[in-house]
Amino acid sequence: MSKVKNKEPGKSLNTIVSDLTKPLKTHYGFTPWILFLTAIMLLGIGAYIIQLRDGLGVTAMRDYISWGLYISSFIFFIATALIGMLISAVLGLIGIKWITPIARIAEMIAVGFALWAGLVIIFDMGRPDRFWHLFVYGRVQSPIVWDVTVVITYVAISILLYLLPLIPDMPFLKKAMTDQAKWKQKMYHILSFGWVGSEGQYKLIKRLIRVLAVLIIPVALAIHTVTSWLFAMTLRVGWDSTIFGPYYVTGAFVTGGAAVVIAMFIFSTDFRLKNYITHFHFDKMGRLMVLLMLVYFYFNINEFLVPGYKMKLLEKPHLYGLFQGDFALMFWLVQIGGMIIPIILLLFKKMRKPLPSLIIAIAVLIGAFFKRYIITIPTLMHPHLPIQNVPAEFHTYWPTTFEWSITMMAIAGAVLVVTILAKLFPIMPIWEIAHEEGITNEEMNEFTGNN
Amino acid sequence: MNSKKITYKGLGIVTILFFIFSISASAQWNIPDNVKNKKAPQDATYELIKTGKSVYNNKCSSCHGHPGKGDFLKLNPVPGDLGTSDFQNNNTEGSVFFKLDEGMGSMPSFKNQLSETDKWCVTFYIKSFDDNFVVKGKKSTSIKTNLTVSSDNKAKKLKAKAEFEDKDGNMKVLKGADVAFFVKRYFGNLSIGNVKTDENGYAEIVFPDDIAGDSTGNAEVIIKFKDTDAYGNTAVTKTVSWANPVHYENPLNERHMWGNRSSAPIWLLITYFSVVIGVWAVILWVVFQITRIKKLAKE
Ligand code: HEC
Repeated sequence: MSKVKNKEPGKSLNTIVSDLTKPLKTHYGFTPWILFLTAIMLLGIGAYIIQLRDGLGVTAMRDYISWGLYISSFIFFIATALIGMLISAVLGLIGIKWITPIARIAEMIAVGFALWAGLVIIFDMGRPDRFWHLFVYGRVQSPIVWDVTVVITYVAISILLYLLPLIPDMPFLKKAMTDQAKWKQKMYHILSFGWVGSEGQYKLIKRLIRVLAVLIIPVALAIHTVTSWLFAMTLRVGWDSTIFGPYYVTGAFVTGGAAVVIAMFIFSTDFRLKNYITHFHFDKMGRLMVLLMLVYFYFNINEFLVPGYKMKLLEKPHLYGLFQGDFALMFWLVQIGGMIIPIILLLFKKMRKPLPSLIIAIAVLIGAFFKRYIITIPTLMHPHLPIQNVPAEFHTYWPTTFEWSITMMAIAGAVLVVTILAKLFPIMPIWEIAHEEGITNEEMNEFTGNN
Repeated sequence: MNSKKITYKGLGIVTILFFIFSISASAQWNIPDNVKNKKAPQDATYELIKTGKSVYNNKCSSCHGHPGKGDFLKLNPVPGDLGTSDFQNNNTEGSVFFKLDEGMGSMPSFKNQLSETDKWCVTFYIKSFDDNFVVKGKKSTSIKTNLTVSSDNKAKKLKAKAEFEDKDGNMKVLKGADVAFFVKRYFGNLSIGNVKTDENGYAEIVFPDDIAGDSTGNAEVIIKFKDTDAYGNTAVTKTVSWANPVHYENPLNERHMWGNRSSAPIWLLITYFSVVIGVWAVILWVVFQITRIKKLAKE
């Protein structure tokens, strides 16, 4: 019986419902935000149309550096999406209570970023019209086939895991949103699947959520491990590593954790939910981040110190490039600014307050993005057979405006999915919050009129 | 003190002189007269010059550049442009052949690297930059010869009969000529014997019993004259079934991680499909359960 230590105990059901549904009605600052995201997306769509017309030649990718910003963004997206599994499944299953108000936020991020991860992969294809070949002609031996399989599976489970806890909220929405557009009311009605809050229904929905929460753990581990295998299964310097799977998974938790902290800050201030996402939650997330980053730090030591100590002939130019060469600035900024300093700062209670948390999380997230870049590109510059007889531009890589625009479109797209979900459905499960406030099912059914 | 200084000075001068000497006095080509006048066993034809050109581009141009262009490597001594009239006037067909055959200093010897024919083809190609070089209509120095080969399956013996055409155009027995026997391998030919013809013109060998053949034990034997200069390139190939059969496994027929789609390892197929089917069965089960929510409304 561990009760959540909320700052304001004893919220009534009435307050909970109105607090959580009010952001769905007031569109304060909503239009400029949507316009901003749409503008970025339109730019990206334009760039993509040109890329479709002229081919991947509009990117900076050439024969040797044939994976660039798209693939590094893809890993970043997958990484961000993984947090849904950690928070709602792992922490939920072991009975951590403080995640209740942020579990759905994590799940929204998972859905948005996993969906767009699949699209980013398609942006990297020269002939996206042949995508279906993968299913018809794919080899089971190929990590690419495994990857596409797990991405699709993860998206499906994430959507279900978002949808299921939403069902018991629908009666509240039907009641609270009567002043809203007809189509919304209709949608709430359909998505309630006939929910009236009966004993049997609660039992069923809890069981289904539990089954999916268990299922998503191996699938999520698989999705990011397989993504790392796209690299580790090839014999290339910097990728030929046995710890790539756990290295990626822990890195992903850090990335997603930072994304959740940022989302928590935005939602708690913009949606005026500071009574629900409190300093207490930021403090907890800060501690969780320290733990995650320490594990990730440990894997980083292994990933760089072990080959760095041996300095094998073929790996030497690659490692020197990272430690003191062309990529040194980015490498050390990412490692120190995006990992070591955040760990140290978050050890202090003051730094785990909302605003400092937000700033640290932004640094971690940017670091995480460029970390993926550093994993992908420098390796491709050091093939085992020397680069010979190619134009000078083939030796280097810096993304073109097209690549940046299309990548920004993907990020804006994922954020847009999260935004739309947050505007259609409450960002916290009303029924679970109510349960934690000690409100019984009978009281809830009375409120919704399902008695 | 003084005498020491002088000794040092003297030593220094000697060293410097030694250096100058060693740089300037590099070795000289020493070409015997009979080699200079040596002619190729065949006429130069445009076909052969073409072959020579491709051999040259493969093996020589990295150092010598393109004849007549002066784009050779700046080595010490310089490889030199082989297309200049200065070089052509001072080097006969025979000398060019000798130089590439023997090599000197940083000029590698191609004696064992190139076949006799290829060496002559390169020579033709180089000499084709000489305005006086005759490409067609040159007399062959070799006589017209003929080889016939018979085999003895029981004793695994191969018997070659050598003949030549005399001035009157009659075929005569060729005595005392070296006949070489080879087995054709993937890369080049394996020598299995060298026999002089007897007074009846016969040369005979016993096929060795340690030769690997194809899956049915077949092997291709090439019989020709050793002295191609004298007897020409007459050659006979004969397939014999006396070699040891070797069965080559085609790795593509087995199931491998790197194999194609249809040869995926069984364990992988089982793992992949059972996991995918298992997970999706649960997902579909959950989706189906959602439809049960309505039924449970009364409970
Ligand atoms: C590794 C570089 C190298 C390669 C490859 C090479 N050569 Fe040379 N070649 C030299 C050098 C150096 C010399 C000059 C040697 C000397 O004068 O000591 C030379 C000299 C010669 C000469 C004599 C030049 C003269 O002025 O008398 C001939 C002919 C010649 N090479 C032909 C060839 C041919 C034909 C090939 C290809 C089959 C070939 N070389 C490949 C380096 C090379």
